[in-house]
Amino acid sequence: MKKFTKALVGMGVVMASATLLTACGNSNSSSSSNSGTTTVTIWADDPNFNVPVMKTAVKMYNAEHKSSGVKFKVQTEGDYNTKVQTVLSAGNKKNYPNIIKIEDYGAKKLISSYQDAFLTQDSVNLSNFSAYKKSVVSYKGKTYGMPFDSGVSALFYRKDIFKKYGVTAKDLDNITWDQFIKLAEKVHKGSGKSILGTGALIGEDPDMVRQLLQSAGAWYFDDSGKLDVNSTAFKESLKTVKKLKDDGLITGYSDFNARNKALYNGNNLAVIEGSWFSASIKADKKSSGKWGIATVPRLSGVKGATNSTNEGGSSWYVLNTGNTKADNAAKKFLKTMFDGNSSFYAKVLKNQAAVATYKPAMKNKEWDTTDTFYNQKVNQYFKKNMNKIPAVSYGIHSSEVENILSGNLGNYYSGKTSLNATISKIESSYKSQVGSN
Amino acid sequence: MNGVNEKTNRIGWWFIGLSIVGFAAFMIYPIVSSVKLVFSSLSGDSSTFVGFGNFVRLFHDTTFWSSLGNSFLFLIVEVPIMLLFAIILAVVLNSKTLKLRGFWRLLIFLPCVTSLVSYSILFKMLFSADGLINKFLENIHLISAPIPWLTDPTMAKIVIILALLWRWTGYNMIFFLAGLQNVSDEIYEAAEIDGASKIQQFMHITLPALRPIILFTAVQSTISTLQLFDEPMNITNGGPNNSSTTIAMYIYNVSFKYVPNFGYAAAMSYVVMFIILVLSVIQMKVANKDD
Repeated sequence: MKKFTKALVGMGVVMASATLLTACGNSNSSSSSNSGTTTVTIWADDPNFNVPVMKTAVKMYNAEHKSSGVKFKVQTEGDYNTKVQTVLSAGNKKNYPNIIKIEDYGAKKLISSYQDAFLTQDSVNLSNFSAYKKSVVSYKGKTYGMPFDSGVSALFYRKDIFKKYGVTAKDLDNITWDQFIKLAEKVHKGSGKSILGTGALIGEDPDMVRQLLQSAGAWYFDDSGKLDVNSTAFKESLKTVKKLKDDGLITGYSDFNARNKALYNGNNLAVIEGSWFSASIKADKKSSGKWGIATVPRLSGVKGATNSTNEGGSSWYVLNTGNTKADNAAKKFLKTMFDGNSSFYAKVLKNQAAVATYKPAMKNKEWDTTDTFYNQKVNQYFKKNMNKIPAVSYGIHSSEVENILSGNLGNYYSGKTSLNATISKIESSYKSQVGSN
Repeated sequence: MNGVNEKTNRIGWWFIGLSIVGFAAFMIYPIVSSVKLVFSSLSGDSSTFVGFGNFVRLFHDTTFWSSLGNSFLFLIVEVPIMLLFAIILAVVLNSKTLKLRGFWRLLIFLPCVTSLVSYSILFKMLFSADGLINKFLENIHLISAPIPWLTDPTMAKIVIILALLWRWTGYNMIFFLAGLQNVSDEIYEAAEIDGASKIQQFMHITLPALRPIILFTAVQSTISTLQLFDEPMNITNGGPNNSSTTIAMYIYNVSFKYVPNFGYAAAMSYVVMFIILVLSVIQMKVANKDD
């Protein structure tokens, strides 16, 4: 028995420490060059969006650079953000892909944590892109990313039902949240349906708060990267969501699929999301003609509040694989296609509805055609508003803050804690969690 | 004689040599090098020595304590219920008069062979607002509005505990069933002749006989519950309001979701390991009191 217990303790200790400490993650891509040809590996995550966009870029690039000796490999990676972070943590340059897509919100975190892994893209002309992208792809005064798509937000709403209760497209244009709430109440009372919907429980959904914050040029942090949840913009954002909730105008669904279902079957009449969400609205073909888009309401009483904001969006980054030939080929490829080829952008706008931030391509007439699903010039709206999105610095600790928010906002929205108590709780949690870093 | 022994010894070493090399490379080396991690703060690829700084930080980290609290809650509520169920099931399935014993045993053990992720996703679907459970309860008119299984902090914990019970009771039952095979029928017959009731037999024969097994399963369940990750990750994703975030999930977040800090994550892992060690020693001391 004694021996058995000793063995058991030993086993316990080893098992405990081993399972907790060995983080698993493997990647098996290579960017090595074998006899003459250089391979450039590109990672993207969305098989319906950025993967075909990249494939189009590669195809067009190859047609013009037949004897470059570079082979491009576009790989679709699942569980994307974790995978990128894992391959960077492992620090084995040979395993790095050459080009990766990074969501704008998470870019600074990765660049600041793994400075040696990223190469600067000095040749990118940032004035070619929507202004708000500059702070996203820059770090310490250098350009690290090639700006790509925008998540310029819109209010997607059921115009047929809104109209039935006397709310027209004109009423919704460039209004404040107070005005919106009045209109929404009319539709809500008449139809008995929820107006706005979030793809998570209301207290756990960062999307709404993010969009409201950025619409007023604010974020969780100030420009120096310090937590800034005591701002008027932050307070007003939370108050707005609480008011929507108290009036029964917003519903939090357990996940995105549940929300889509409610949007398709008419239980939920509107949603505020980035331009990319248009694809999900359009997926329900039978509702063609019933949906419209309008500007996002602006916060009342907040300095710098606008009707333009953003949700999501991403940029392309080049990793330092140690193979100079491949690294340079990757940079050249991005520069040629993403900062210089308007016909490429026209193609992906048409085929993948890619709302890119490259301004020279916006002259293309594809941007100004009427979308037959909405019966509205949707891309023109995106184009106009994209350049009005207030620029904010997303900082490096957004994930931490959002996790703290989901632990605290639920209590505020349900009325259990006051606004000021909630904010000081968020501040103290942040301080204790992020610590000295 | 001695020569033969030496030779067998040498051959024996060859047999275990390979696994020792593997064990050293993949277990001992990571464990030793993790000691270095514990005393440094790693932000991505830059590392600074902080001494006990990680432990000081951890002490003030409210998220650490709340996720540790959640893990403990699962441990305290789920493990006793599970072990009790497992013993009762084992005794019932050991009964000679039960028909189709093999079938029932198989049925109860079957959950253990399903993958953690897939069964978690199934539970998530079953307990979603418009899931099978709510639909069923509504159809038999037990409830009028759907129960917020996954969106209410308490309910979410209950769902995870139910899931754990479903998945792990059968696993522990097998150990008890094996243990029961070592208890001779004669003891029960003698007890019966002496007029002991079934409950008395269970309390005074079965339980003492199963004591080493109870110890083993208790220690093992403690270890695995404190490392709970798959179920809350997949069923609730730690929500709502972080009410089901376990310590293993927090360690994962610190390593892979937040600004990566493996030093801090390793420090937390060591604290959890230390807690498991203490709990295991206590359990063994309690179980071996009369030895």
